[in-house]
Amino acid sequence: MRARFPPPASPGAACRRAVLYAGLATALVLLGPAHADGRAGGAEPVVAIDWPFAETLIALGVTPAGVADAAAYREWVVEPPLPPETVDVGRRGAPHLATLQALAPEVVLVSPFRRAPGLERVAPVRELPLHAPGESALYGATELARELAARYGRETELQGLLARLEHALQRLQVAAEALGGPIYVAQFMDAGHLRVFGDGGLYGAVLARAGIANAWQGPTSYWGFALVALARLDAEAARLVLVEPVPADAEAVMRASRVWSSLPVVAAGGVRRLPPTWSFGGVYAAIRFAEQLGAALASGG
Amino acid sequence: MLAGATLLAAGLLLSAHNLPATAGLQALLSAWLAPAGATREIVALAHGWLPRLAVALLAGAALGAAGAVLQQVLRNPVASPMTLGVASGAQLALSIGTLLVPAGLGALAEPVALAGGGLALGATVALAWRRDLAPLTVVLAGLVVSLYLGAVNAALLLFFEYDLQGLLVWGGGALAQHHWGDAAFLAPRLLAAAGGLALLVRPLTLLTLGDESGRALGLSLRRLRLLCLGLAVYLTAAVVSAVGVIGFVGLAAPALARLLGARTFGQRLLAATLLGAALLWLADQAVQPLDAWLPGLLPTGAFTALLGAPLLLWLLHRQRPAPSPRDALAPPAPTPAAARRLALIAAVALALMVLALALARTPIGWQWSLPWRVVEAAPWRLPRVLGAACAGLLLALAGVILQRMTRNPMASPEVLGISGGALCGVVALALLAPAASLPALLGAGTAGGLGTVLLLMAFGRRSGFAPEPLLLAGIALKALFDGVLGIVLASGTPLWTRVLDWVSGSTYGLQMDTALAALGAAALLLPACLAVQRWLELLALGGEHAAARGLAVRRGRLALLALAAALTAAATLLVGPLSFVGLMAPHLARLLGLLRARDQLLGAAGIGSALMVLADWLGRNALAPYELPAGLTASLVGGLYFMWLLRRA
Repeated sequence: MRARFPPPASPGAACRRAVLYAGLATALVLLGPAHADGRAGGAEPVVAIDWPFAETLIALGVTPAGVADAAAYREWVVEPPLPPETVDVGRRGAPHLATLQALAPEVVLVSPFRRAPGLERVAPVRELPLHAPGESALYGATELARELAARYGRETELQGLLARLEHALQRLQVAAEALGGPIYVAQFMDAGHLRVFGDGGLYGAVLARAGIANAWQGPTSYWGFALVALARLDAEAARLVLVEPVPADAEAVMRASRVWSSLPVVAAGGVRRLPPTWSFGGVYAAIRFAEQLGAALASGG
Repeated sequence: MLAGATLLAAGLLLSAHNLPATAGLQALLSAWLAPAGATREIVALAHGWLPRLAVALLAGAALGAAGAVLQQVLRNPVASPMTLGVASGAQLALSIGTLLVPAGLGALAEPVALAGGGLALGATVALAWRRDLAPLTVVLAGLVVSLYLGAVNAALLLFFEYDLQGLLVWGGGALAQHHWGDAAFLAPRLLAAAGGLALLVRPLTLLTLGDESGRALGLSLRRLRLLCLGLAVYLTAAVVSAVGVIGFVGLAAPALARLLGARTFGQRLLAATLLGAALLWLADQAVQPLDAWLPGLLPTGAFTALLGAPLLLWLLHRQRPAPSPRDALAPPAPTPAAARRLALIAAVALALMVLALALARTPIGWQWSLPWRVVEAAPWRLPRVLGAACAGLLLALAGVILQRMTRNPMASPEVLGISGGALCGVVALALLAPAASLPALLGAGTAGGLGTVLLLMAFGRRSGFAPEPLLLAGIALKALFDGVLGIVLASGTPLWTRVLDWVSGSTYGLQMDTALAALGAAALLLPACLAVQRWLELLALGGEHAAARGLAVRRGRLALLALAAALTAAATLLVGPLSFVGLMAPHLARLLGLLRARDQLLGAAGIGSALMVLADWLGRNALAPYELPAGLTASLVGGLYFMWLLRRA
């Protein structure tokens, strides 16, 4: 923008003009052109705050307009991959309301735990429990998938996913019968402590469905795991399945620690690793877990 | 004596209970030399239980020694590695290190922790330097530094949840061992430091005589102090990098040593080392059976904080209150330009509120909307801005009252521990009833805050609500609540970010009715503060002078404490317990020349609102769509400025 004005009468006036222009320029920079709708074409008007919802939607072929913590999703959940049109709406505990408003969703899916107050002022909120207490997490995940498929008309994709789940569970059952013993499923939190998955979570529900005995019989939290020191994994189990990623210090402990190598399951050579899967996910995570567990148990004896 | 013997017996019984197996010496040797052949239980004994015992003894001894040295060098009966910010510094340095080197720090952990701890201690000493390292000021400065570093750590945890969650367990001070690595790490370091300290016992003993006598006897004071502080930081950093943050052993061990009659420094050092080892051993053995039947982890470090706080309170209870300094001050003359400056502050505050309402960042860029349009277009903004302004105002008023009442520039609402009490109430309810609604949580928070206030009042009654015991009690309560928070964070519940959000002062989701209630509270409490401004003016002169001028000192202090408590509780329920506004605003008001109580109250109120509104706006927009809680932003941005301010003042 070239402004033509008569030359200033004095240095003071020049200074004032400069400030005025600078102020105008700043104001123009700050004021962007206003669009009514920030949503990319091809995306459905739904925003998923919790990752199980995002994962299930994407697995059903629905591109959500927005997902919370999208950057972390890409790093920690990875599959199914987040489409590039999906907008990041901020932290799961505090989604950015202005961004949500610009996306103008028809519904925002949130779980009761992450429910941030004030969301309903921006868009209609639908609170979906991930699973009811006492109910199997796997059942909750499949019901969630059914509901979302019905809402967005993705029956074929749903049937595909459910068939894949059944197939994976059957393979898992076969592998488990060959195994002949309970297994541990655990994930390292730091060098000396693990989350071991028991009843109440997604992994525990998959194991139960496939008829595999869980070697962890201690108390578990509401989310289906217990945080324990590694010496507590002392039952006679057929396998200890470690979900990656494994921290570097934990690798060192596994190499060097006598306590670790004297655990019955480790001494018998029963440690297996699984590629990273999301332990608090929905039906897609369950499918991935079941498939990979089946492959890990079948191979290597 | 009897109590000691009982504790010792309890410790031995618990240790025996926690033994995975009994074994003769032969079996133990075979476990070490030929582990493949030994049974699992013997291996667990030789490579799990014994190293854990060794690490508990070594870490406890190191912390006890560090505490004794710090208390001697700073001539401060309540100095300890944890209260001076060393542990927070080490922890933050390790968090940053973990983020920069995701593959794991490995051997770098120790130097990183050392650097962090050293810098934190340096900051504490620098802050308290102007007041000649007066004991209470040093502790408060340490608290300020811990709060600040804790705020930075909290921000990192909120943004890098999964990268740093592994550090939460370690941060709580979990002592479980699977090899002799940590014990082998700590033992030579403890021996080396102990050797150094043994050589320094004589010069350190001379410090008891005071600076002048020491110098006259040929001590190089500065070098000695630096060396000893360095050794204390070294010991603490070694423990922190090996097993995490363990609270209160460094404070309790020297205090017990003094109680048990150790008179010279050498005796105290030795006794503190031994007692530290014994205390941590006892705490660790007590934690193990509890840990077995909880689904989450109960880290020893957080547990010792829970034990240590009541201990500190009991110790303070036994002490005679120290007489307050006798310097006489005259009330400052009224500043001629005060009215103009107050008007300027009010104008700036209002302008910031308008800015916060009107300017926001959307996915398409910055957007400026007219303020009255905002109420329909973005209805969530007004309650947040209003809530932030009210919270800032309330905290600033509480800060002025506390700083004048205790005559200490480091006093602030966070130090009283009221906000920590409110947090504990909320956490307790959230753990017992995970589906509790927001009003129920607010009620629990209020109950917690009130409970803390009653504790403080009961505590302060004996000393006539004199400032020192009150502040120290507040610090102890705050440490207690930090322990609770540490346990929650380490328990592995996926909700820890929600708790952290609340603790960090988020205005997210503030509804209009809550904001209006806050406005009402501010409208009631501001005139109440102005009504007692004469008491504030007089109490700033000191207890005796105030009494000489006709103030009923005890009643006045009680009323002021109650007022400060009400202000803090209201603000905590709005923006949580963490922000620096209550500490900063009175100082900024004074810097602007508002010296009289009335002027300072009004000025600080305006500055406090402005600060919180600005912090809330920055937190909402600077990193959009990721939001930082208002209290956290205020701490991060304001904390640095505040510390620089203190150096200048």
